Amino acid sequence: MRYLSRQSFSSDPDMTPMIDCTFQLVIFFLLTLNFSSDEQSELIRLPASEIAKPASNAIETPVTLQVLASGLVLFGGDQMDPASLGGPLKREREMIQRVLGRDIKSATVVVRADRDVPTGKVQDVIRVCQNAGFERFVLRAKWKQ
Amino acid sequence: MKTRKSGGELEKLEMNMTPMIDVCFQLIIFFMLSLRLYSPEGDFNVKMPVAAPRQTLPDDTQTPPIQIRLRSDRHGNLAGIQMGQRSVANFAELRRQVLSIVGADRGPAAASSNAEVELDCDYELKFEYVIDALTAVVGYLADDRQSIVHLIDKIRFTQPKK
Repeated sequence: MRYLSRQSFSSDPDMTPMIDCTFQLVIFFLLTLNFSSDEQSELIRLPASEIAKPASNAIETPVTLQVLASGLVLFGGDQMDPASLGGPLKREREMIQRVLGRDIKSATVVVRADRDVPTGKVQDVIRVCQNAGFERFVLRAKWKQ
Repeated sequence: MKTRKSGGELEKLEMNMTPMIDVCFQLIIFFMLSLRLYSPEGDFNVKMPVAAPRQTLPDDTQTPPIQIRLRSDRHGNLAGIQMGQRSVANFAELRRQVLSIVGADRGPAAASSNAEVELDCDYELKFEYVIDALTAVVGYLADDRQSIVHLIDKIRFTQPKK
């Protein structure tokens, strides 16, 4: 708000609306923050399904494997050939068993495969997981609303 | 701002808002840069055959799985759908066929609770067609467009054909 005095001119803007907007923005971004984004690569274009609704309860011990359209697998931030996935998966299994103290049968492998990847390559990846001791698998799809 | 009397004059107490606004803008910039909008995702449970041979004989009371064959052309596109020996035109037709087998009953003793689908896909088939097939056999959206009517939950894959 501006006002004039006899001697000097002073400007004192009302900051309240700006601070209100700023807090609204902070709250909005806080609520939309996605902590699991490291397991959702933008390189993957998931196939869509109208019945792939998000589950109400989270998977207990998820192990996320992302299969790119080229057939390479994105696991733990590294891209690798399905054939060389065995070592990292065995380390993951030991970590689940020793560090988390959970049975490997309770772990679920979440396969996020690109919609254009050959199905055989996805099955190859699942076979490597089976060889590493994993038994439960889910195929992930985007929810088409 | 609050004021207090001092010697008969109103004195304005100014609170310095600059650091708070600075921090808020820092927070906004951080959240804006880390913002990633993802569409919601859901899962399909699948069973994969284990390489080891079966130790026990199959149960006679167990119903045989519904065999669905997905063939692809050399580009990975869908070339044909078969359910058993019968050719199916599209995935909507496949759902109708599955629905005719499992029936409309959804109780614990219903046919759908024991039914199992075995997907037999070509190696080169694009993965999106597998999800389309799963969408057709696992269930469909009810009339309210919110709840899902489940048809068959037990899904199994055979070894891919090259």
